[in-house]
Amino acid sequence: MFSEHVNNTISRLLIGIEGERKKRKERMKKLWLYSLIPLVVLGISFLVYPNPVVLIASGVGTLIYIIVIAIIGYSSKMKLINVFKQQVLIPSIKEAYPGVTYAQKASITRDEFVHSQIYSASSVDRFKGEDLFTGKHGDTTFKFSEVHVEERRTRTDSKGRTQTYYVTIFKGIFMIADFNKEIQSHTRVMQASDGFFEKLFAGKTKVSLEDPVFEKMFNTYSKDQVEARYILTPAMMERMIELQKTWGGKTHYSFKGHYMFVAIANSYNHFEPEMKQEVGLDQIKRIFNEIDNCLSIIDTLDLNTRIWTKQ
Amino acid sequence: MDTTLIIILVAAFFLIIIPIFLYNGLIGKKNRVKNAFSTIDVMLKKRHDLIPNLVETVKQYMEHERGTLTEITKLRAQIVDNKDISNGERVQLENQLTNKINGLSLNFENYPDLKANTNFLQLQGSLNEIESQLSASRRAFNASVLEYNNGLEMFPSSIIAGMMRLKPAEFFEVPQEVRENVDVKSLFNN
Repeated sequence: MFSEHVNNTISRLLIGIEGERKKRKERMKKLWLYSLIPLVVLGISFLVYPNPVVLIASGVGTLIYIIVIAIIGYSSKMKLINVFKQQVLIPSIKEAYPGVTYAQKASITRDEFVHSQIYSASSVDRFKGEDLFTGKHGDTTFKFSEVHVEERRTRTDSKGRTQTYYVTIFKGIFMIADFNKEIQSHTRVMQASDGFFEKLFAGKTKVSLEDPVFEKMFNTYSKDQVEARYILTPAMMERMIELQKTWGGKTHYSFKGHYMFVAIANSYNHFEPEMKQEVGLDQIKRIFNEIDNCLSIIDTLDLNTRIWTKQ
Repeated sequence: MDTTLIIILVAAFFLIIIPIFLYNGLIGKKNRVKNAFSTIDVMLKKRHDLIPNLVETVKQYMEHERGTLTEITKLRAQIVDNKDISNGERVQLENQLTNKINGLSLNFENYPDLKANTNFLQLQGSLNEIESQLSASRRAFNASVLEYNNGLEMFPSSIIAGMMRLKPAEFFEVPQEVRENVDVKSLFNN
């Protein structure tokens, strides 16, 4: 997988992280065991002094203790994940994927996400993302990251009180890739979820294509009927069906300017080490597998074929 | 409200408003067919403009294809110079031209010197682009023909279409040779 020098360095680092992980696991086990002490104290004190004040005070104490342990546990886990990503994952990716850059804390930006017009800008109220990969795969420049987008909504109860809450409108992998054909207009391919009225009011922007499986799976909208078909050739439609079957989640596309935008909904947290398992080369292999799956979007959609005027 | 008035309004809706919608819908579909055909026309003209350059560039490399190149030039001239040609005849000639160009494109691979010419590579890119655009506009045309013909045959718009004496539009057929599978053996014999 790596050159000998990198392999040695990474193996040494992994041994260190694995040691830390085991120590942390033991420490956390002890801390959780200690939480039984206030619970026992709570029980005994209630038996000795059956006073509600004692009960409430002991209860609050136990709760605070549990919250503190949870915070300690979370922050120590994140610290280990950060060490893994910074010291192991970044150099590993550099070695295994020449030309690909990985940034743990960066992501596709809100502006880029909105620019795709897959979701309306007014729905993007809370935006966050991580694990940004940028680079070139074959002849295709790309960037992708995990993205989580939420829309703010309000509800009013019977007493007239309004409450604000957030609803996830997209969570998954968002990719921007250089498309292999020139695009003048804008074409959207949305996984078939639009209701009767959305289709009805789509009017002339709705594109009816020949592939019945594709038509059942996706709704296509474009201001340019010819360009939509120029992008969505019969072969491209088949590739999109194949990609959807591989990923399973809802997949939306937008073709605009020089770019293709792909949003694949998926609740799984990608590119993360699993701290409940041994931190070793297997974890790196699993993450590489996830990166390969994302890069295979470019291969599946055949974006490296550059036989048209755009190179 | 008076019951009679309601009946009159409902009857007016069915007898006047709905036929107007259906009539306008059919006219819209008919115009979309016309518009889609004009898009094909634009692409075909682009291809006509590209052919002289392409022939000029490849003829010095493709000595054995002189016959095909002459035929391509001749077919192009037949279409471009003959303004009074009917749509049917035009489609037939364009399909012949498509076949000849496709046949020639398959042979490009046999000429390494040609593949090294940057001017040719640019022209090949443009040709591929136009052919893809052409295929897309044919499909868009066929989709609008399907929509229009459905309008003529489906109830209730078929009643209005009958009164308007509208005739079904013809699909843009793909030439027979293109539809057939590529005969790999014959390619090797070339």
